[in-house]
Amino acid sequence: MKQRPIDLLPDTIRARSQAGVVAGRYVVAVLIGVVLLGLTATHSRLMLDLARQRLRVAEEQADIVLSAEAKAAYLRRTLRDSRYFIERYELIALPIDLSRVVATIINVLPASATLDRIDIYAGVRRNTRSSRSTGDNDADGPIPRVLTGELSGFAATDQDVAQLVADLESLGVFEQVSLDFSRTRSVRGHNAREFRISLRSSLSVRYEVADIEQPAPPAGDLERTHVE
Amino acid sequence: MSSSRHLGVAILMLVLIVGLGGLLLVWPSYREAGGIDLQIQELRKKGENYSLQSEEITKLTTELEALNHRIDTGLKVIPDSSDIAGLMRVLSLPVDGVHVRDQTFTAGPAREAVVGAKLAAQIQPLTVDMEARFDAVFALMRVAESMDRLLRISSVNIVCDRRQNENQPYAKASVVLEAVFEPPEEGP
Repeated sequence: MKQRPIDLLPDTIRARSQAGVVAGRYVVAVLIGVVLLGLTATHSRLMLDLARQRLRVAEEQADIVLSAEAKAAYLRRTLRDSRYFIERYELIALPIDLSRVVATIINVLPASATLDRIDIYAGVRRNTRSSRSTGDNDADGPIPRVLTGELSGFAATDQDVAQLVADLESLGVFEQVSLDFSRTRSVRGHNAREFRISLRSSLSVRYEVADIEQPAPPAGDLERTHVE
Repeated sequence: MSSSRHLGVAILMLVLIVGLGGLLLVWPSYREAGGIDLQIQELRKKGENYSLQSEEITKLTTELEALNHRIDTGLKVIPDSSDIAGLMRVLSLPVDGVHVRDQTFTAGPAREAVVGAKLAAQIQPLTVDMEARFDAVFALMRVAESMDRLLRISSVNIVCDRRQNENQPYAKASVVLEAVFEPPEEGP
């Protein structure tokens, strides 16, 4: 026997019930959305905190690097200043003391030789530029400096004079050593050879001073000088 | 209003709420984190050269120490004034008539230290004319060149005078000293 379902629920009640079900679904959907939103927001905050922590560490390391950069820059600047000071100093100062040059000349004098006159000049090449033109030619840069000298005196023989010239040449201090003349001269009734020697050297080269072990001449603490 | 329309409005509202919430709460954090990551990458790039910089600092320090040592031991002081009076005080010798018969100091006008070099440094020449034994002349030269301050001897002229005593002649000497100095720069 076939039974037929009997729906005794009034339509109004049914409609309210269906509306409640729909509303419940909406609420669940909203809740799910809010929870998802909350989870995502929490995740983003965590990621942000982590990034900030990593940034702090990176900044600490960067501070070390930056301080190293600053120190390197300071050192480079100081080094440049020091180099400039030394270059300027070498431009101003003479590369060799003239007292050492005089001492060196006296050291190589043969026993029979005597000097009457010593002229030594260290400075810019003479007659290269007139005093009027010095201000106009500044762009040319510093004028090369030279060491020039003249020695006049007498020796017993020409061999002694030649020996003096050879010794002066062998020193290496002077680029040019030339005998201007050698002539007879009477000294205390004896024949001697009067001579004049010219010396010339550049002051653009670097000199190295070396002590020699030999009895000091009367002038005191004398040293021989060599070109480096 | 039909139930399907209710559903559409509800979904739209939900999407709006979630979207607005994401825009206000989530997106700024992710965006800031992304920016921070970029910053970190840049900082790390800088840090990659740290070892090279350490090496360079070591090298520069060594070089600077060597230069400073050279300056301290090998170079003399360039004062800010010529102080000719001080020089004369140091170089003046007692005129005793035996070793030194006469000594004259003559100062000249200041001029540039290196012709054509455009340096601030200047020199003031001081000519010392002497009639003395060679030892005294030489000692004066040594004293002048041994001073702490930079002093140049630009020329030496020594003539032996045998007229009075042939065995122990006197020397007539003219030594030109150049006192190097660097005047302080004038303020604006």
